[in-house]
Amino acid sequence: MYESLIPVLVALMTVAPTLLAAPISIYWAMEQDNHKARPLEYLAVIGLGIAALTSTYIALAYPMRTIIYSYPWISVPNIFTAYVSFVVDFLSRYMGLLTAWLAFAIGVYSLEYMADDYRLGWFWFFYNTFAASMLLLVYSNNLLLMFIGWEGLGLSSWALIGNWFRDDDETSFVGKVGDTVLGKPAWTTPSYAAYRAIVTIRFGDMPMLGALAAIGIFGGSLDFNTINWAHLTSVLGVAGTVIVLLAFLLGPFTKSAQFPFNDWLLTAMTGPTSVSALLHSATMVAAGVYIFMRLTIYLVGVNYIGINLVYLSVLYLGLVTAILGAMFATSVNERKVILAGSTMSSLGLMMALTAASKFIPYSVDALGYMLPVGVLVGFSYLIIHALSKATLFLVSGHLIHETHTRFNLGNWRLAEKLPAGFYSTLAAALALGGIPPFAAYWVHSAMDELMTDVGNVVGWGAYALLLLTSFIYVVFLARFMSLNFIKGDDPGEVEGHGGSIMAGTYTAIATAALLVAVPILMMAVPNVILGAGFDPVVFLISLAITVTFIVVTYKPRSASFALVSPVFERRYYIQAFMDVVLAGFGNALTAFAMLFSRGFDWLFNNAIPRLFKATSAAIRGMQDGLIRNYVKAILVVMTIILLIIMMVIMYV
Amino acid sequence: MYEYTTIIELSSIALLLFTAALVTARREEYAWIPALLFLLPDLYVSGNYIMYPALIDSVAAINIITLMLVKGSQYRGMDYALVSFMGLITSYALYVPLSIGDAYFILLLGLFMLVSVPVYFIIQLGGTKENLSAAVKAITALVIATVLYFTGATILFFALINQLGGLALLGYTLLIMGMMLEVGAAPLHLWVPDAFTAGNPYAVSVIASIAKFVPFIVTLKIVYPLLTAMGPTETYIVVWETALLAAFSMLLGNIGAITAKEPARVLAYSTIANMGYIMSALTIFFVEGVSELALAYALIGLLTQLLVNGAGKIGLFSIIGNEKGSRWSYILAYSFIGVPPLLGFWSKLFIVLGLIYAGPLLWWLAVLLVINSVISVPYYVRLSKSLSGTGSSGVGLLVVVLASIVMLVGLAIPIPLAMINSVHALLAYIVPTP
Repeated sequence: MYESLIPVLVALMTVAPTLLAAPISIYWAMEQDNHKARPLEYLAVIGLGIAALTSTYIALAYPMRTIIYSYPWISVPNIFTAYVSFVVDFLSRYMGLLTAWLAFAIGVYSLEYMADDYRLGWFWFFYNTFAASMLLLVYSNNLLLMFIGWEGLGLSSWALIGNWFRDDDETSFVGKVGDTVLGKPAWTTPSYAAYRAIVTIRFGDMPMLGALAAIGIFGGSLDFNTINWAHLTSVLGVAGTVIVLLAFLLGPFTKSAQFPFNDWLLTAMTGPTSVSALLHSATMVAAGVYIFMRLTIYLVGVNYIGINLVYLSVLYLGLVTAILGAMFATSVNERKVILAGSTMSSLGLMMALTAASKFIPYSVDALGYMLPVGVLVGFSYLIIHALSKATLFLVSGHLIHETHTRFNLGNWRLAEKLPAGFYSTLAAALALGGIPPFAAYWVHSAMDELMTDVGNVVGWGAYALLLLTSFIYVVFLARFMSLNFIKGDDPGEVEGHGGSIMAGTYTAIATAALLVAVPILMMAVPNVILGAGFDPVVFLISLAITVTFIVVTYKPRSASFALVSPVFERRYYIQAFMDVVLAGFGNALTAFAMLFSRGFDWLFNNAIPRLFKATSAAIRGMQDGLIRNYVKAILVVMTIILLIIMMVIMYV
Repeated sequence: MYEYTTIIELSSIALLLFTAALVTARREEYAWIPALLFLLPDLYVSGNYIMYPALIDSVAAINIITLMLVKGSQYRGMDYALVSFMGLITSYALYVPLSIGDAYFILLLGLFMLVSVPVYFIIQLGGTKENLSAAVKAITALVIATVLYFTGATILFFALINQLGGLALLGYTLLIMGMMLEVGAAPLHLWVPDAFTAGNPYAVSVIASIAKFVPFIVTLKIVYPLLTAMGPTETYIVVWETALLAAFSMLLGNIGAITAKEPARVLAYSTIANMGYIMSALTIFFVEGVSELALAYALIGLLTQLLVNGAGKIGLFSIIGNEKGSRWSYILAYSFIGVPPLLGFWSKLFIVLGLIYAGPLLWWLAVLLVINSVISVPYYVRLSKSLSGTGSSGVGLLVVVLASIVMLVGLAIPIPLAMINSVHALLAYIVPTP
């Protein structure tokens, strides 16, 4: 009975938000009155609420086992069948719960944040479509169905990043206006950022689709739980398996902003804060990691050199992304861009942790489900990160509204004016930084433990990178908090009125971030997370982290570090590479094509007319009016033709 | 058709007598009445074959009316009779019964000459110094042409009777060059632009229309029966020779016209091009083992293109002669381009179909013909604009309208279809029935 209910519930979760966002979209197409559209906005948020309640029902009411619903969808007799397949298991029920409630909460936040926006219809439609796509992706057991949700995420992301498409408000930009690198602008406008996002994601989606087909053909099925990996590896061999897996993973790499595909995430901050909070911290970018986790659950048992190679590379790629993101976050001065860098860093950690599970042979029992330990730790971190980062983003949004700038600005006076904001920032920083006894401390300890366990297999570089990243992480968390609420520049006049809905929302989420530690600590058997926290070495490291946090809070600026920060500010010159080198390549191709085009133009506009004209003039030039010359010409022509005919006769 | 010969002879004699009477009575200006009247007896044929003499008579009749517009005609009276006579001979030319005897052969050569000589007189009409210089060039060319033609035909006949393949080719070459010089096809075209520009436009319109039929018909009737005696190699060479010369004429005529400035000169080059088209139709007949369908299209294409060329040149030269312009120039010019559903489209279509059905050997010529139609568009459009106007009136307008009606015949689609049906009967006069 649970199986048959799943499609109804999933349909409710995906259709309700989209359908209830339609009224405001249609209304906005005809009339753009913010005040009159208010009830329709509530309607859209109610749609999100329905999805949230449905996901809660699934999370609470369903028994603690893997339940799969499957129905034939595309059927080519005797050749292939694709199924509509949904799954309720550990990953999907809690990810769905997180996504739906965050979407709802941030939707409530947006009611006030986007109250005066000029593009409400567009915003709400794509916001709700995003929620629907994400939920579809989370509960989907079939790769093709998942891909539909995947693409919906990309579309919504593009639409929402470029929400302020008129590029007329400098507050929405990323980077300093007027800055250039290699002659190209180093600041990004919303329309350009949207384009960069969709292009990067697309670049990953196409190989992913190809790999999806390959998995379907060689693995025999497109459902996660029935793919025959053994058959696939035996048919494709090492090289083939590596290629297929890497192609498939290019989707998650681009979507979860792994290096070097991370630049779109950093410039995606041109979108409204609600979008940054929901998509680019908690859910959409986590979709890539989520899919990787789901895949890992099934791949963990398959011992094949090709798969192991891929996992090794993902592990290191994730850690490199983590440290690069963290370093970047410490150097920039824009609020949301700091948080974007930190998101990039956290995503790298999540990917690395999931990849590490391949090299750890045991699973743990989490609330009745057997999960690879790396997946459990990674997923716990995902939840904590989502709640904390969303809080930080929402606070930034409120700060931007109040201080009218996207750069770090604010001191203790501001903290007094916005107490909820200060509390939420502090709570999120504590929850995320790794300071005992808050949630991240335990999860970071588990991370530590994991990396130590796999050190013999993957090398000790992994552990070193993890450690470094943890330190740099708290540095920018402390810097963010300090430069906005404690030791930053004076913000001048601050309104301080209104914003109660916004404040309420992020306070709630921040508190949730603190409280989520409890279930995380309780759920695993054996309790790897709780157990890891009692290791003395780990405890000492966490003390060092706490000290760093406090020191940086008091002294957020460093003159010597400022010397190297331009490299990081340039985001490792990735944008410069794309704008100059890649674009230059495109320009070269265009110029080459133009050669052909010009050639044709010359031929038809120049060469052929001149040829005709010259021939015509020559023909008419023969008429000189003298009859004796005409008779001579007749004789000459006759002779020539007769000679030709005689030669032909003789030859034949 | 013994009776038909008698009809033609009697008509000619009657024509001569009546015209002479009118000239003696100093009533030359009415000599167009017997001219038109005695043109009609050549229509006395059985139903299936009437298309051809009807076609010829329509051209000849419009020519006679056109001659009324010549001011200062030094042969007034006789000029009508000469044109009518040319019409009668042209109608007769196709009906000469096929045979290989020398009587047949000499008769055909005689017919060729009988159409060529009146041209010597008609080209002089108008009498100005310019007209006469044009006449000198034309007469010189036509005389040389006749000589070449006769020489070539004789050599060809002799060679084929005695089975000498190489000599036959030589004879054919001389014959075809004579024909080309007579009608003004490139590369023996040099007299045409000067003659057409300097001559009286109405007189030129006559030689540009009715005089072009007989050379082609007679060539067909002489060469075709003798072709069967030629070996396949020789036939192949004949086909290629004719095709290449046709292509050359088409191209030279069309390209030469592009930069020509005076309307008469443009029309001269247009004639050269049209002779190229008609020579392509001629080529089809010489292809070894060609199907009857291809021959039918070839004959109808040849005849219709001659008709279009004739009517068009009459109309346009009349407009030039009026010096007042006429709106009908558009119909005439666009028919030359080959815009459907005017008659000019149908004539080119028939020739192209014939070339295609003749086999892969001549497909390149079909493509070239179409390309040439495209090349001809700019100068015809330019010509139609420059000759456009509203000033024509009286007989001048009548001539132009009649010429345009011929072009508009193509609009009534059953008429071209009827033409295709009846041409199969006409083929019997060229292709020996097995």
